[in-house]
Amino acid sequence: MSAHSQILLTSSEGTEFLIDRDIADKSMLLKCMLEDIGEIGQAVPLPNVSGPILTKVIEYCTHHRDDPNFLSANDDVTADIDEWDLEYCKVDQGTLYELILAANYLDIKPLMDLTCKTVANMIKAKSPEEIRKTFNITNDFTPEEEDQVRRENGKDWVDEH
Amino acid sequence: MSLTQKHSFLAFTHDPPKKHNSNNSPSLSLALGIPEILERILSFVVLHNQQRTAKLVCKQWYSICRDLVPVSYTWILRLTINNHHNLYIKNDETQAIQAQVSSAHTLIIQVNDCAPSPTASTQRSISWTAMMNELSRIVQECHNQRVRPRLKTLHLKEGILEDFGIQLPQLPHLITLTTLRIDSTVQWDIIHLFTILKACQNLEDLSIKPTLLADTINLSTHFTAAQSSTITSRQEDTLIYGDQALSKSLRLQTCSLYDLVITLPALTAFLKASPRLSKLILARCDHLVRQGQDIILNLQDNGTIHSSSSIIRLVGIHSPKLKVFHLSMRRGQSQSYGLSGQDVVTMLQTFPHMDACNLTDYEFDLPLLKTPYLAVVNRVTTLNIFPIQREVREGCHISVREILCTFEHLIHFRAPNSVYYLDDMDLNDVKEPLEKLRSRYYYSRARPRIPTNDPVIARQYVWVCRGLKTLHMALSFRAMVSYSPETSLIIYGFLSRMCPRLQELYLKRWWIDLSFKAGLSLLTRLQDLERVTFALTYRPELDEEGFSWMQPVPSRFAWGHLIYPLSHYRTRTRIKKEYKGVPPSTTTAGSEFVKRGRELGIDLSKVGYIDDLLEWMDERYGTNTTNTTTPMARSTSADAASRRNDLRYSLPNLQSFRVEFSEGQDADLQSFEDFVGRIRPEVDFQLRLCTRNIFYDRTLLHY
Repeated sequence: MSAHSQILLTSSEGTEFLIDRDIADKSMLLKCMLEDIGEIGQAVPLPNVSGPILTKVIEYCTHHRDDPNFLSANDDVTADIDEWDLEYCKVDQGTLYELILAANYLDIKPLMDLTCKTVANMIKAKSPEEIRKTFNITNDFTPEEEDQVRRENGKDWVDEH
Repeated sequence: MSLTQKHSFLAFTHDPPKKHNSNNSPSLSLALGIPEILERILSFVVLHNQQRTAKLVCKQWYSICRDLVPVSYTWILRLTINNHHNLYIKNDETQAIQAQVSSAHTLIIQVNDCAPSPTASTQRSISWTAMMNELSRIVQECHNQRVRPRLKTLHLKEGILEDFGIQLPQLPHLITLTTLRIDSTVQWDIIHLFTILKACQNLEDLSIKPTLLADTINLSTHFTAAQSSTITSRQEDTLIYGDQALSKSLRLQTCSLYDLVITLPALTAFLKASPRLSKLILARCDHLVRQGQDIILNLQDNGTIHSSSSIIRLVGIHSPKLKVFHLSMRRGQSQSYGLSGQDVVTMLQTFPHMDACNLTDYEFDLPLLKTPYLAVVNRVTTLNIFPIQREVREGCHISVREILCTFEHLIHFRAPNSVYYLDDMDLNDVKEPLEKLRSRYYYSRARPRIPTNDPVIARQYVWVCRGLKTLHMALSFRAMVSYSPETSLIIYGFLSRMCPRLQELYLKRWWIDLSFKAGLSLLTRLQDLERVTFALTYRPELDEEGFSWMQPVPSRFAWGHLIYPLSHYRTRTRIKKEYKGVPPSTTTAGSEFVKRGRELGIDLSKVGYIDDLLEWMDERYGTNTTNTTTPMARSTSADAASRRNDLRYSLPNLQSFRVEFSEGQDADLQSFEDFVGRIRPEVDFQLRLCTRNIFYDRTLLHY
């Protein structure tokens, strides 16, 4: 493959990654940037993404490299996560949140949806207190307010006139 | 909770949630601290209906979930014969409606009744204007307050839109709308389409489809049809190039349009403006050809064919990435809609990545299955052949058999109205002896037999699509109809061998035998089966024995009253006696069908024979069913235990089993449903007396 079809990325620690242009194009941030300023032959710094996380992101984009439906892959939000993606998300929570941040920063919507779905799945079947513990959140409801939410939950929310 | 309470609750101030001191990674606080990320996560939570728990976590989560949970509001226009009783009566009521409409994600606008009178028509028109003014005011108010309106889905139900030309331009600019559904069968044109797309620029899903009620209303009244045929070139130019021109970056992804009058330049403009389009349904369309254009398009009197090809190519140029495309044009002067075989080939050539064909039952020509077309069409993995009009007649001219014996890559085949001849399933020539078992219903007639010793013929009767997962079709006899329940043994035996990977089965027939001796249990060989539907005319007889196979494999101590009689030798003897007169299966062992089956890895030697059912009983209950040992005694023997371990669970993936019939009594259905509910609680088992129309029930689901 010729040199101009490859892009050099630098992670936050300064590690360099040489990737093919079509892989870089999976990131809307990189795609727009490369289209706007052209390939300048210098490394693109990604100060918000660490080396190990960038490796994971590249792994994801490489796996979905030839996926013609890449951008619309998660349009069916109710669809189950496929097997490879499921395995891909089997990482510790810290890595998962860093992946979300990287996907958000690099603007890779399918990866963002995949990781957010994975977090949403962690919420499933948990009580509010368990969720607070998992996500480190303080309950800021007064008991009266909490009671009000519970009462509201008891009602069907579909308003029909 | 009253509205006032709800609104006061909105006033929760939510500071970013405080975090516990813990060892969690800082990326967690960072990720959840970005509102878009938290909103995306919670949108999946809401989708899974977990919002009630999520709302209790903290105020921020409550607030986000509240905004994400869809609220539906139905705005009903009440019409009476003499006077319309609209919703604007008192000020306080108006305010209540405003509050509810402005908080709705989904707005359904409908009329309570469509009294076909000129007064009603005037009332409808006045009320529509009032409703649109109100909607417009709400949108403006949101804009003034710099709040995005919540409305995402608008559904204009049947009868509300009487005149596209007058009513649609009143639609306010609904910038947040992503889904618009209009129930209508009024013929309309591309000017109206542009009006909609200009009003709702962020639309992702647009469907303008008929419904049963819309059709009924349309037939019973004389709605003003859109003046489609009078669009002039000048009007069209203004539409495409003038102030009315579409934005070049519509977000439209799926678009199902019925009864549209198309012009090529306007269609081009529409396609150019919709780069994200992935599904396009243009059903029952007419093509407006003005004087002079017929020469450009090389159209002749029967120019529909050329016209369809032009449209297909046009769509191919501007939307090459379409995944689903259906086009049905009026064929000549007739009332039938579809494409010619050549058009189908053109479509597949135009979209080389497309492996789904969405056709009507007027258009599948046999030459498609022959070379040189075969090379193009053989890649198809999904073939849908649906009727496109409400007056549904059985599609006997579609050769379902040839399709299934030719398309080796076929995975989904849906042709619920196209007939597969039962005669063609009778590979072992047992239909006649089976029919004779019920001599009083037997109609003697000469019928052509399928030669069993011709390898070429054998290839035309044994299916090649080994990976078939979805099968929808109708069953019938080629000649006159005979009442012969025993032939069900052929149906079940045939299907249980031909499509081993089947997941979804829909069979339409006038009647089908669901008893045990008819062999329904043979379907358990299709271990991947998830959904079964029998759409019948007459109610079948139901007995518990017939559905005993649904019981999961019984454990050592659970030989229930359902299993025991079937595992007992007496049942075997009874069945043998009932089928006395049918020759043994060994007579066809050497037929070309059996050989062809063997080539494809399937055993066809017993299809239609009682041996098939007896073999199934052996597989399931063990070969010792002929002895007289009691089940409990057998269950203690090591052999029997290991044999039972080998038995497979009956259709482990079965999710739904439905039997629908349009004539007959609906008594005792509940008790039978309850019975199946006890043995297979996870299966959605339904027996229903209902009138079905394939067009409304099936076609509109897919197109």
